[in-house]
Amino acid sequence: MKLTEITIMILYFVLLIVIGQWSKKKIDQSVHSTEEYYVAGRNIGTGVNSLAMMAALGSGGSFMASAGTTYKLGIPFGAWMVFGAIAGFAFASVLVAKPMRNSKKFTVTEFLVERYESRFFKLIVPLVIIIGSSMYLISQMAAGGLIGSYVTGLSYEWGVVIIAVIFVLYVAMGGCSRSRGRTYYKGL
Amino acid sequence: MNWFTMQRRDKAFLIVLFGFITLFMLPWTHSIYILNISLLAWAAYFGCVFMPLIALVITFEKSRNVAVSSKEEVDQ
Repeated sequence: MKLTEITIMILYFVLLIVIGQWSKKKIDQSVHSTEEYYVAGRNIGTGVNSLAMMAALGSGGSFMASAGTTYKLGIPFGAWMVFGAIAGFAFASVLVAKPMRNSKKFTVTEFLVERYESRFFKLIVPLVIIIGSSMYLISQMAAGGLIGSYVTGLSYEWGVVIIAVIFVLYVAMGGCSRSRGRTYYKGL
Repeated sequence: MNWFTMQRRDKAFLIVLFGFITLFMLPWTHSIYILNISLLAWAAYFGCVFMPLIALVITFEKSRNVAVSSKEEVDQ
């Protein structure tokens, strides 16, 4: 067991939980608590959002998978993978984020149901999102577990469990506002 | 409400983005090397810098226009 590394990790996780709890209280006290929880009160500016988006790219995929695939497939592959993320954000900002913001809806499902006036989307969109997000999150958890086990000396399984529990608790308590806040500080 | 009104700048930005990707993904970039790295890779790194720059210019230009128009409304 690596005591220093484990202590730093525990302190970081405790800090995350404390921030999540603090923001939960703040959201509960807010008049527009639903809006505050889902879309951070629609008050996030360009600078904060840009830094948060940049930090969000610094995920398990960037630390582990991109280094590995670039080593295996070459620099052009790695370069276009990075540019793909950047271009994807720009593309989504124009085609997805703007109409979503104008519609004043919280979720993609709500947006599509109202836009196309079809209840079919109520079932199919969450299914697509759950499958797509699961693929992404599973790889993040796997990377988190690997890094966690390397840093702390604990087993891979324990690394995955710890990271999953902290992640779920933090996002569930703090919502979009805290999630953006954390990624913003990570970006800085 | 028309949620899908796209401003000219946004359209132009998307066209430039797609044009850039299509142009530099074509095979002609695979065989040109600068400092032993193919033009294909250089183009992607160049895109990583200049695409966000264009996006930021568009964003701040829009914010400035919104600020100017709301100031004019207040003055009237």
